[in-house]
Amino acid sequence: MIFLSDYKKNIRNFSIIAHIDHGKSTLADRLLELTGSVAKRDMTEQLLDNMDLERERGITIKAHAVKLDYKAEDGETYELNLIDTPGHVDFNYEVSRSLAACEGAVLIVDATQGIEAQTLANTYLALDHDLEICPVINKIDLPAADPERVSAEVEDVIGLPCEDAPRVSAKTGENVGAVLEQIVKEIPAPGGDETAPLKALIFDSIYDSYKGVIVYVRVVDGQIKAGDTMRMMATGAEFTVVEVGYMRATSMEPVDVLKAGEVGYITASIKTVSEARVGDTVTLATNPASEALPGYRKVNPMVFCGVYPADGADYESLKEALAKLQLNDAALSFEPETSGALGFGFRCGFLGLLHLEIIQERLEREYDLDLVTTIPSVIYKIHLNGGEVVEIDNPSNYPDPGTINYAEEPITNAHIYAPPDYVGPIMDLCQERRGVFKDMQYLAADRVDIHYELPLNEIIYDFFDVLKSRTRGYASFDYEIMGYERSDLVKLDVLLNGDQVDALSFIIHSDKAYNKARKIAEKLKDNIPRQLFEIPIQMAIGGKVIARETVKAMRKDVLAKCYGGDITRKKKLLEKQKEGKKRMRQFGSVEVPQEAFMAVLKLDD
Amino acid sequence: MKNIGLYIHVPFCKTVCPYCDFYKVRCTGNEQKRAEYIESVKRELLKQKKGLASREVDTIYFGGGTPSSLSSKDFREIFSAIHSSFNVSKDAEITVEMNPSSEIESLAKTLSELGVNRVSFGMQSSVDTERKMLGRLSDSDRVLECLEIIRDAGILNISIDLMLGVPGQTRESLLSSLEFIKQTEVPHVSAYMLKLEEGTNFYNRFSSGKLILPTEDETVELYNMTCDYLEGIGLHQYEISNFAKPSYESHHNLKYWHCEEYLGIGPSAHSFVNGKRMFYEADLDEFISSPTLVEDGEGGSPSERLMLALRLSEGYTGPLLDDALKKAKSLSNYLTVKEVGEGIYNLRLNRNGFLISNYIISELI
Repeated sequence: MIFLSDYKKNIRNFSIIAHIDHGKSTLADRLLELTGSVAKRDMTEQLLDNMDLERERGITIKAHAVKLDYKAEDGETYELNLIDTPGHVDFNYEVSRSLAACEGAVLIVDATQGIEAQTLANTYLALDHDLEICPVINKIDLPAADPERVSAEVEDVIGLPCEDAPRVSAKTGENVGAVLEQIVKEIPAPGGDETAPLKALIFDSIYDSYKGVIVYVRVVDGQIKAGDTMRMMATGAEFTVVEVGYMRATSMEPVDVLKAGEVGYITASIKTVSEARVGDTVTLATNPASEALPGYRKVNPMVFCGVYPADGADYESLKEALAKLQLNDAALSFEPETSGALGFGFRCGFLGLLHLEIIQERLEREYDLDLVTTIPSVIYKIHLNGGEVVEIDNPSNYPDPGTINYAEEPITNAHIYAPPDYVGPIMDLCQERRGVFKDMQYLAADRVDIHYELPLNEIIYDFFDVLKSRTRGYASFDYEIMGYERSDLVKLDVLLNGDQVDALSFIIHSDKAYNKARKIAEKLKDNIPRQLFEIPIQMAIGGKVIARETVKAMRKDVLAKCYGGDITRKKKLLEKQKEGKKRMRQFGSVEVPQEAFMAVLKLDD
Repeated sequence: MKNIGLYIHVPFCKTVCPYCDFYKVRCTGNEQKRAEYIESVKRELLKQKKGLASREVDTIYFGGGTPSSLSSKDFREIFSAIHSSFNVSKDAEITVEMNPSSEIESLAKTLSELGVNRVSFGMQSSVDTERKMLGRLSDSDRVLECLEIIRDAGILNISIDLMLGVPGQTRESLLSSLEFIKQTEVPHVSAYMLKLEEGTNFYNRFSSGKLILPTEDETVELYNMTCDYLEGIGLHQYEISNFAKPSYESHHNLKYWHCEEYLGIGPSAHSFVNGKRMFYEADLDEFISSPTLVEDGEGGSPSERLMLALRLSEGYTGPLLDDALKKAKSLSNYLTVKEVGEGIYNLRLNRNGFLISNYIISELI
C-alpha cells in the first residue's frame, strides 16, 4: 500500500520554539512571506499573533497554525504545517499539546544573547515529545551578533550539532530560505496509518460566530470528512462534521478529507470550545479508536477572583462579555456574586495570574469595560466543628474562626529547572514560600531539576516573576496540583477609615500574616491618593489590628501655570482627573483607585 | 466687537532651563532660522488679521522661549508688522518676558521706544545656589542691575517670577528671595510652584532619584508663607500664582482667566478667536515653511469659564448646575458660595482651595 502513504512523505509538521524576544514571530512572518502564503501588502507584523494583546506583550497566548506550500531545492513541493505555541507557565499544557502535534521544532537562538531559560525549557519540552530539533541562529544583522560563539554554546549545552544550523536575520530576511530547506531535510515526515480508526489530536479550538467552534487537529491515524459523525473521546460528545480543511495564513481552505499525518480544521456546529477541549482525541462514532491519544487533561481553573464593573450599570455588559470570552476559552469560569463594597459582579476562575490579567485586559479593551478585580484566591477546604466541610474560593465566605476545626489548602508538585548557580536563590525563594524540599537532580552538568512541594496560594501571585528576577530569567517552572494538606490559615481584613473593605480581605497562612499585613498597609498608603481628610488604614485578624498606616490629608493639587493660552491642555488634564475619580471605588467615605487593588495583588516579597 | 489680546511666542533660548517644557530651540546654530522665523511671524500677522478686521488689540505679550534673545531690529520689524495689521489701543499693555542673562542693555531702550510698557522678569530666585540649580547663569547682583536698566529705559511696570518648591529651597532661603523682591519694589509678582513636566531634565532626574525636591507639605508651607509676605507688602493675590499692587494686574493674563479672546502667533502658540480654540504645532520648521492653525474645538463653554475663573480671587460668577452647586456647598472649607442674583452664584476659593484647585474644579465640572 505504499502509494497510499506517499502523500505523507512531503508533509512536515513543526513548531517554532524560542526564548521570548529571540524572534519567533518575526521568523514566522518571513516564512509566510517566502512561501507566498501572504502577499507582502497584507503583511502586518507578527501575523500569527492576531490579538492586539499578543503583539503588545510579545507573547503568544493562543496557539495558532498555518499550512505553507513550499517548493524545495529538490524540485518537490512540500506541505509545511507551522504550529505556533504559547509561551507561559500558565499555558504549559497547551504548549505540550501543540508540540505533540509535531514531528519537529525549529529552535531559534539569538546570536547576540545565546541560550536563555526558555530556550532550554522549550527544548526539553520538545525533546520530551521526541521532536527533531533544527537550531537556527537569528539576528545575525546585529553588530553584537556572534553566531560562532552561540553555535558552540548550543552544541555544548544542549548537545545539538550546529555546523549546519542556518545563520539568519528574520528581520532583514537574510538566509531565511535555508530554514525552509532545513525543515524539509531534517524533520521527518509524519507516520500514522490512514486506514486505522480515526485518532486526531485537538491542539486548539476557536469560536467563530459563523461556523461555531473551529477545531484545530493533527490527524494521527485514520481520516475524517464532511458528513462523518465525530466523537470526542474524553467527553463522549458527538457531532456531525460540516467541513474539514486546511488553515491558510489569511483564510480557511476546505478539502474533501483530512488524513493521517495532516494538520487541519474541523467544523461541526459545536457551540462552545469547552466541547472541544485541547488535548482531547477526535474519533469516529462508526469505527471508534480503542483508546485515546495520551496526555489529555481537563484544564480546571485554579485561581479565583471577583470581577466587578466599575459602573454598576455595566453588569449586563460584563456578563455578556464573559460569556463571549468563555466561548473561546474553556479554562475560564464565572458565576454571579455580590460584595458589600463592590455591588454585583462575578466570581471568575482562571488557570493562573497571567490568564487572569489577559482576561481582564480583554474585557477592558475589547468590550470597553471598566473593572475592579479583587485579590485572587485558591480553593480552600474548611473543616467545621460539626464535621461539615466547606470549599471556599472567596474570603468573604470564610467561616467564623470559632466554628472551624481545621483548614486545608491545595499543594502543588513544583519543578524548577535552572543552571546550578541559581540553586541557592531558588531554594531561598521556595523556603520563603513555605515550600517543602523533595529532591534535586542534575539533568546535565549545567541544568538542575529542583523539586518542591509548594502551596498553590504561594505561587499564584508573583512567584514566577520573582523566580525569573532572582535567576536572571534562567529558571523555568512547572507545577501540578497534588492534593490538599492541613494548614494554619487566617483571614486578613483591611479597614479603611474604620470600615472593612470586604473585597480586600484574603486568606493567608498565619506565619505570614503579620509581614503581609504590614506590606499591604504600606502599599495601600502609597496607592490611595490623598483625600480631603486623613485616612487610617488598619489590617486586622478577627477584629485585632496587627498593622496600621495613615494617608495624610491632601494639601496640594494645583497647576501653578496655565500653560500660556493652552486652555485645552488644562481642561483635558482636569477631565482626565475627573475620569480617574469615576474609576475609583467608594468605601464608606474613602475613594480607592483600581491601582490600589492591583498593587496589593502584585505585592512582592 | 470686543478687544483682543496678541501673543507672540519666541521659541529661542541661549540655554535650556532644566525645568522648562515650553517649546524652544537653542539660539546657537539657528541664526538663519531666526531670520526666517521673523519673516513667518510677519506673514502670519498679515494673514490672521483678516478674521479680526474691526477688533482693537489692547494687550500684546511676547513669551517664550526667551523673547529677549531677539535683536532690536527683530523687534522693530515685528512691531511694524503688528501696527500695519492691527489697531493697537493707545493704552495697550505690552509685555516682554526677559531674563537677566540676555542682552538687556541694548534692548531695553528700543523696546521702550516701540511702546513696550511692561516686563515680566524671569528671576525665579535671588539665592545664587538655587539660581544655579535652576540653570540661571547670572547672580542676584546682575538681577538688580538689569532691573535698573529696564527702569532707566522708562519701563516701570515690572513683574518678577519667583519659583516655589525648587531643589534646596527652605523657609529661610525663600525669605531672602521675598526680601529681595520687597527691596526692588516691583508692582507685580508671579509665584509659581515648580511642576515637574515629563521630558524635562528635572523630571528625569527626579524619576531616577537624583533630584530631591521639597515635599508636598513643605511646598504648601512655602506657598502660604509667600502669600502672607506679599500681601504684607501690598501685593494682593488676584490669582493662584499672581500678586499685584492695585491696578497692576496683568491685563493679558486676565484675558485667559476671563475666557476672553486672543491671537497667538509662533510655534506652539494657542489662540482663542471667534469662539474657536486653535494652535500652531510646536515645530519651528513647520512654522517657517507652512504655518497652519490647527483647530482645537470650541472655546468658552460654561465648564471652561468655571475652570478658569476659579483661579482668580474674584472667583466665578454665573449660573451653576444643581449637582455642582451641591458639591460646591459640601466643600465649604475650601470655597465660599454666594447667590448674587436669581440662579447666579459667586464661587471663590480660599487659599486652601487654591492649593487643591485641581481637585475642586474636577469635582465641579
